[in-house]
Amino acid sequence: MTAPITTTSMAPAGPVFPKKHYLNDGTTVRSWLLTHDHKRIAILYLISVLIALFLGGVFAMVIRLELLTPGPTLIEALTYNRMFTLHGLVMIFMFMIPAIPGVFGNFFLPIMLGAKDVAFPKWNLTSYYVYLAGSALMLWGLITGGADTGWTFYTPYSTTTTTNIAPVMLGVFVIGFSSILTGLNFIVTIHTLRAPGVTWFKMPLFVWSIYATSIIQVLATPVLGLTTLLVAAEHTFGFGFFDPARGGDPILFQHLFWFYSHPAVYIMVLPAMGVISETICAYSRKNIFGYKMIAMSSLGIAFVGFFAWGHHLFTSGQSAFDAGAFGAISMLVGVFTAIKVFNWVGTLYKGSIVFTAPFAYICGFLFFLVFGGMTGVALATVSLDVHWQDTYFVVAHFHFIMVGAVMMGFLSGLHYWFPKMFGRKYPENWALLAAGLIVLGFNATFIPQFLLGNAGMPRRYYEYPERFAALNVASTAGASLLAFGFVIIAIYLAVSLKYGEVAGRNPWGSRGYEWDVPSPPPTENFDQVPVFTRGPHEYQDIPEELAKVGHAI
Amino acid sequence: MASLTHPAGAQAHAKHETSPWRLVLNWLVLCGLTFATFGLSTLNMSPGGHLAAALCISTLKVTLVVLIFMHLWHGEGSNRIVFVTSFLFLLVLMFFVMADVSTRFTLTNSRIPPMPKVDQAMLPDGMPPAMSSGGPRRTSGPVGNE
Amino acid sequence: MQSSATARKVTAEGWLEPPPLPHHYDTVENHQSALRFGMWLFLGTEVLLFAGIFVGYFVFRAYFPESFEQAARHLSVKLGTANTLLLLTSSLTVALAHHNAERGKNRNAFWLLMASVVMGAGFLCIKAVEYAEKFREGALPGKHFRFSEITAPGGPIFYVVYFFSTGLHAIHVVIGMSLLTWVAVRCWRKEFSPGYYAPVENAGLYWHLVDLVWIFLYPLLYLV
Repeated sequence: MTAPITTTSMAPAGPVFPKKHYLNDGTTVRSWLLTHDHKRIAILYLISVLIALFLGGVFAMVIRLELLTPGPTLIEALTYNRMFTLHGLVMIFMFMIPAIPGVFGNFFLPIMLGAKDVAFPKWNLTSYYVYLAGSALMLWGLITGGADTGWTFYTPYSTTTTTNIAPVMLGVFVIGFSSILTGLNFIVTIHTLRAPGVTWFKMPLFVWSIYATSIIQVLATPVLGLTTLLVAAEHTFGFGFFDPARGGDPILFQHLFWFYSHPAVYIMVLPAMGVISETICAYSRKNIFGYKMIAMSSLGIAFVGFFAWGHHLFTSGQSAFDAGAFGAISMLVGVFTAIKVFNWVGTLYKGSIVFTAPFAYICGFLFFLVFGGMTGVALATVSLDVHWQDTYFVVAHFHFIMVGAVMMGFLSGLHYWFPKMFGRKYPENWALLAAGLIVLGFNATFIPQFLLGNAGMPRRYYEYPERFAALNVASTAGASLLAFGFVIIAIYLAVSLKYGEVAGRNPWGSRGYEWDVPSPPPTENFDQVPVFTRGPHEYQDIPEELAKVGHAI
Repeated sequence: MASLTHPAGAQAHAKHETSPWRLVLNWLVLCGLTFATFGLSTLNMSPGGHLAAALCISTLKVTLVVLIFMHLWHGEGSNRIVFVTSFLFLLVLMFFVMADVSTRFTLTNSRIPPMPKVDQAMLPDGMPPAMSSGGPRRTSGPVGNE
Repeated sequence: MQSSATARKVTAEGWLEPPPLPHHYDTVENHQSALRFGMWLFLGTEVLLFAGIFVGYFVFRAYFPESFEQAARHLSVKLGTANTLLLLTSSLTVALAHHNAERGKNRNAFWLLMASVVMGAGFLCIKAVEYAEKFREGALPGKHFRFSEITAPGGPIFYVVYFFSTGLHAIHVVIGMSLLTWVAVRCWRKEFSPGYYAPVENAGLYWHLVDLVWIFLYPLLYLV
């Protein structure tokens, strides 16, 4: 019984719920709050980001309800400004940036590398508490003073507004620290804790995408940190760095802000792409098409993403030279994304498709990534952006990526890995229904917004002309469908935590490395140092017993 | 036993012998370069020349501190890549922002008229000039030839 | 932050035995390498933190070259140079402390680290003197600017850059001093040995970074 765990080990007949696993290894509150186990930290993050998602969704619904009629509907103008600021800040800093790395990265990165934990488990726990502290500070500032600047905090308004900016800025600064710590931890883990045989080109693609994400987090977030400090200092002490009346340069703020915030969108999208690389292989039961291209294109997106920030400044007054340069470079990102999309479609081709909820989300992801990405390339054209800047066209574009791509990736991963994380299956019927609602609801919400933006409706406006009413109503109706879909997901996942059918080690028959450990995994992940005898995503020569996949209903 | 994921690097770092005198010599060179920077600043050069000279010497000092005091000369490749990469991205930020500033339509550049001494005292407390009724206005008063 | 010193036994050479290897690492070398790599990544983030204010310096220098020149002349080059030499020397003592800790010479390392802390304190004192003078002159940032000797436009902006960059740097000096003091206390307890000296090295790396930032700040603010 001293042989290392091989990858063709068999599960016993009938799924078995392991007796001892990370969830019941220590049941006191203290054992959870002071845990060093990366899996428990992932669950802590999961609870927090889901609360953040809910909050952000509430603010979104308030916005959409307000926009149901051209005039004032529910709230007044200042409250509306606070709502979209809240929606943006909560969604971006409290959900989108930490979600996939914090939950799935934390949970699966060590297991996929054959490690027993991340490089610095205590710093991992610290990153979670820093995230909580920063979120609390930011929310407190938003509630007590109510920042109304939008999440982009453009100066000189943000530095001269009477609303309570300083705690919000400091809260963002602190959350940024959490992001840096997570990224740092993951980079060191990938470099130093790979099990024997797991060379760089044998790592699962999810790990590659987390690696690229972590590099961006480490390099870009400090610049945001400095920018928030500068704005807080200027607001509090009247510095005038960004205030034209004092000789400051507001465009400098935009440069510094977007130097982080553009790579930030790749922090959000790259992990989702990594999830899709994992799930697309599992549900087409096929090797990934073009492993190296997908791995390298993740790094390519991370790299090129740093040179593109000026496309947010096309109409702000930056020089024509910069605008031209940034416009051209921004389009390069499309090249790397296209490489990925072609490879994913190549994976699907002649695959043996299993149409489950995660696969429905993959379909949504591919469709929305392509449309969102293409509208991104269109927006990168300076002359077109002059028309679309600060309209709903831009809003629709980034929601296509953030909700359409990232959220679909999150949901796909959540369903794919739910059995692994909790040992139970979710009900596939309800999941497919919810997926359908979400995909439909998403289309209904955001396609009208492309049309609105192109017709000239500005963003962050509380009122609009009568002629935009029909599309706004359509968009709000779609948002309600979306919300309904999320509610359904929340309910059946919560119920499945306790009453779902026992999943067993590998209900999907996936060949990902994480499916070799029990569901849920033991605290130590591996009893002995694992030896992975197959490549990542390798689906030829599947053992007979793994070839059949049953549904959970 | 060498780590399987880090065969050469860790060993390379652990084994090198640095004589403390090497560190002292490095310090002497750095102090010398400090005085050189000071000396150069007293010479009669164009502002651009001063800046270039200062940056060159600073870069040299930083290189010495990083390579010798921080042991990157013998260090693992990954540490070197990290440091160089962060510097490179600093340069990326610097390049594009300075390119913007130097090629922008110049009337959008920052400028403020010289501060009239009297007006300062008349500014209401805590209010930035943009929001006070009497204060130096950005558009008043010609500045430069643009 | 390994297991507490009280749990570790004193070895024959006089220093404490190294703390146990964390369960998820295979070798000591790998762990030390990971700690060092993590610290370098963190230093990378600090470089990018200061990047923004350096960009601000160059941008506003391009807009207001005369006032930057005038204001720089009102800074005390003597004090600035003294500060530079203090930080360079403290870098030397920190590097020597690392050298000693690597060989288990904990007491030497202790005194060297405390010397660095004292020099750091000296740096802060000189900075305080400079700041006090600025407050007296009215050479303050933004809306507080009252310094009539700077006649060119952009005086307030220079002092924003000056106070923000040196202030942020001073905060890092304080953090560095705290780290060095904490590590020095551990030296006093003879915790370090050839098998375990990473905290000294990492605290040293942070202090060197503080020095690096000043190496660039000094000529840009005081000399050009």
